[in-house]
Amino acid sequence: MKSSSFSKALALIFFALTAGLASWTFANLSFISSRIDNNIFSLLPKLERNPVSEEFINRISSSGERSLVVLISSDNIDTSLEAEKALRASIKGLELTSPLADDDFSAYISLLKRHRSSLITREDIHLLDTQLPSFWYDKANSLAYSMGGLLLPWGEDPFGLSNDWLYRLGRSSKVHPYGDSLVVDHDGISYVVIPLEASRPLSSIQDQNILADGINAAITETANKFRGIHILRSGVAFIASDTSKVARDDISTIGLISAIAAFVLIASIFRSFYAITVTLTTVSIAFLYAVLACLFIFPKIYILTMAFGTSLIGMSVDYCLYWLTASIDDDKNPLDRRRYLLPGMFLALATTTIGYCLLAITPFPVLSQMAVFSIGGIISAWLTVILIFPYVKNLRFNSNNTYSILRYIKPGFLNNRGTLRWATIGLVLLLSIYGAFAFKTNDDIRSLASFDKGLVNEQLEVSKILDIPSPSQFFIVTGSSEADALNHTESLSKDLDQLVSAGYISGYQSITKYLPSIASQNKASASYASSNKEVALHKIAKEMGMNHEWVKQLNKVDPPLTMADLKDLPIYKKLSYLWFDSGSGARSTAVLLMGLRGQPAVDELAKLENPNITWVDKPQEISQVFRRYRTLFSYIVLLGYLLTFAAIYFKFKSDAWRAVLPPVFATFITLGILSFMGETIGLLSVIAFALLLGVGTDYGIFLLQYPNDKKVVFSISIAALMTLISFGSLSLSSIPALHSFGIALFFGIFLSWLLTIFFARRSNA
Amino acid sequence: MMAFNFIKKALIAFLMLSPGYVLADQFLDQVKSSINSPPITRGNFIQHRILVGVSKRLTSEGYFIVDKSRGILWITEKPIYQALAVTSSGITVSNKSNTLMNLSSRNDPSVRYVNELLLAIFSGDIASLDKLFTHSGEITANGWAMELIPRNSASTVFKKVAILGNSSVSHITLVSKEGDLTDIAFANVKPVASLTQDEVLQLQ
Repeated sequence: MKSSSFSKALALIFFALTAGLASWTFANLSFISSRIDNNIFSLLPKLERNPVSEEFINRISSSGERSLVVLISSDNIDTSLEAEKALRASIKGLELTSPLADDDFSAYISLLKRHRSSLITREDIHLLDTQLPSFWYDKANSLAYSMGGLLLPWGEDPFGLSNDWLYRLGRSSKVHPYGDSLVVDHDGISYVVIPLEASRPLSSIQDQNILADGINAAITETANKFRGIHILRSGVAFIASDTSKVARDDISTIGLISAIAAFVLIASIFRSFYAITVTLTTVSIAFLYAVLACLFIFPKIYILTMAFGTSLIGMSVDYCLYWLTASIDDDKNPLDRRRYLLPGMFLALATTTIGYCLLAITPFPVLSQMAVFSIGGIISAWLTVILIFPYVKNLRFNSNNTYSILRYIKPGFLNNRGTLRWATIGLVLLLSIYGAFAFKTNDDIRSLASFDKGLVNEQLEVSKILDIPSPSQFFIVTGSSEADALNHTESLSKDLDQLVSAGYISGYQSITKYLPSIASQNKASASYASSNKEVALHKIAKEMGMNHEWVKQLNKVDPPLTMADLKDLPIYKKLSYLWFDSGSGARSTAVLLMGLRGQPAVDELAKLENPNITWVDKPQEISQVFRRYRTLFSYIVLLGYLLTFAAIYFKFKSDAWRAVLPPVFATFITLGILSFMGETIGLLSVIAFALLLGVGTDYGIFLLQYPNDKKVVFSISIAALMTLISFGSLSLSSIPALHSFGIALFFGIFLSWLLTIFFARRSNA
Repeated sequence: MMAFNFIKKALIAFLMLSPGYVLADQFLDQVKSSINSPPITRGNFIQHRILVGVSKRLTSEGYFIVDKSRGILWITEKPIYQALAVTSSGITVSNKSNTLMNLSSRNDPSVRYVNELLLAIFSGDIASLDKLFTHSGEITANGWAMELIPRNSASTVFKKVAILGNSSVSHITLVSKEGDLTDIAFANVKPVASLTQDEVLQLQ
């Protein structure tokens, strides 16, 4: 009696806790929905290999999240400019700012006057070293008598050297102001550029969708109004908004399929609305704890977790099914029933949880969150069944027709038909061997998520037109001091210049374009002091009536420019983006690349790595992590089977293989089927096989644990069907990660169930 | 760095100020109706420059040719010789012995704008000018006068541009941001039937 009151107390505590959490959740729904995150950058694994490169990627993602670009082109620039006006008018209501061409060069020009001798283009250095006084005299005269104005007054820059320097910098940007607009030319087409920035951080899906939908509507409206115009979009917000919509559609489709299937199944077996209500309540409790577990552990809940989480329906229904089927035509006291079911259900929970734990220890935040979600959900569903169900009134059902149909499933079928049985075993072995050798692996990062092809293409096109550097493939150059870092950057620039002329990359962005190394600046100053130029200067001074002070001023060698000189200029904001000041002596800078031509370019770039220069290739890095974990998990799955076998060997001795071999064969045959279907095997497929280890061995363990209980065959069959439906529907997902997970489990669970029944000992009952 | 494109803007700005162009609205309609726009124009110019910190006033003279199909040639003859050629393929400045500046539109597509804009100006495409400048103007006893202010300070190096004209542009004043002042007076502006062989070569 003592244990019974203890169990009652436990049930009460769990019930009270659940009720309390449910009301808290209900009261804080808006808070919870604000914690749903659709930032696709946060899906990337956290790797601490190079803190500077991680810091740089953070800078890109935090600024990238908010900025959007729209490009408009047509066969006539005036039409494009009209369309720009219309588009700007229709996005007026949105929380957007549009940075226009900023006049931040005036400050740079005044700086240039103080470092005149240090900042000279390579071409001019060559001319200073080689040309005679007459050339410089002619040039100064020509500029003095030219028609237009230059950037610096002639008196400040009589040979146009500073002008040339500024012009070279100007050429590094393809976008140029055009009246009130910005225009870029690419392949003979002029595009009007509309840079946009969200006025505040896009912290929620709603904000993101409002913005993306608003701009998309404005684009459609503009495109309808102006015939023949072409509009391109680029920006994380567009892709994230689209992805979250896809994920949301997935959640509703998969969730609906799973839910309907679960309830149809339960309705047909138990013919009871009451059974459906009990199951529905269990599923709700599972979801409650799943969401709360994630909220408790993670700052944000990813929308992909929610999509994956729909498989929880099937998992939590499983435990209900074990109990409900056990109650069919059963007159045992519910507490006795629990005592009877507990060992099997405990093993089932333990093996499944271990499967999910493997998912939790990956460095991929989204995968560990999926695991926490599932573990929280299944443990609470299990607790609901074990603690609460014994006290739920009238949970006893009668058998009906459906039940009798399922009774035709006989453990150990074909057991007494020798030839057919051996032929089947031969076929299983053959298919397994085929599977073991036929599969192809794929560790590409894109196997984690898929984005709308059209949007991705637009993004790529915009990057090409605007010459936007790659956000995920770049160099980090480090030096013991600013001067040292700039020296290394310049030597890298020389190698990159060669790759540009060889066509591997179209260009690069380096801080040394604006701030050359001290050595380069000294070299420029040495050439600037050329006697040929000096002779010309004296001659032109005389002719123009300039005084001695002017000549002296223009012959002076200036101190080199340093980062500290740039600190107060508007341009510093743009340059400091590439610059990392660690506080102590060391300095790092990012060198960004434009127009990488595929893998050969990546190979060439990787060769430039040395102790001071780090080549960062984020996609490849992530793919390597994928591969490493895929390999690791393959071993873990192998080890898991060995451990499971060892564990149950003590209890079931020579029959233990009947629980372990079926999921092993199922795994290999699934590999075969997937390769036959052209699917590739990635980390997610291996994790699916790990879960299959947990779920698949359950069936065999149950059959071994209750060899004479005919209802066990029934309940594992229903459970398998349920799992099949919930994971099978994941295979319908348009998100590749969920798809490969779902499809691997779909075949795996089915085969595992079939083979477990096939290899089971014939029941004596 | 979009802000560093001003050299091109400078060129666009000053080259569009050659004789014979027109702008929109009522005032501009009047200007437009008084101005002639033949396929090829030729004329002489006298230019005065006042440069910041330079006491000497620089006076130069020469001639110019505008060919709607080829581009623009601006030849300074006195006190030094130099030739400025603007075509769809680029901009070059040279004297008798050297090329002093060469901007190819292949390296830098926006150089193409200089030519496109100029030709638009000469064919009376008012919209193009209006995109870059706001204007004010008046009809005077001898013709018309107008003042142009850049819409976006980053897009030109000029603070202000003033133009006087009648049946063709007779006078242009350019004030750069840094204070250098250029004053151009035009004379004998008239249509011509065809270019010389040498001029065709320079505009290639």
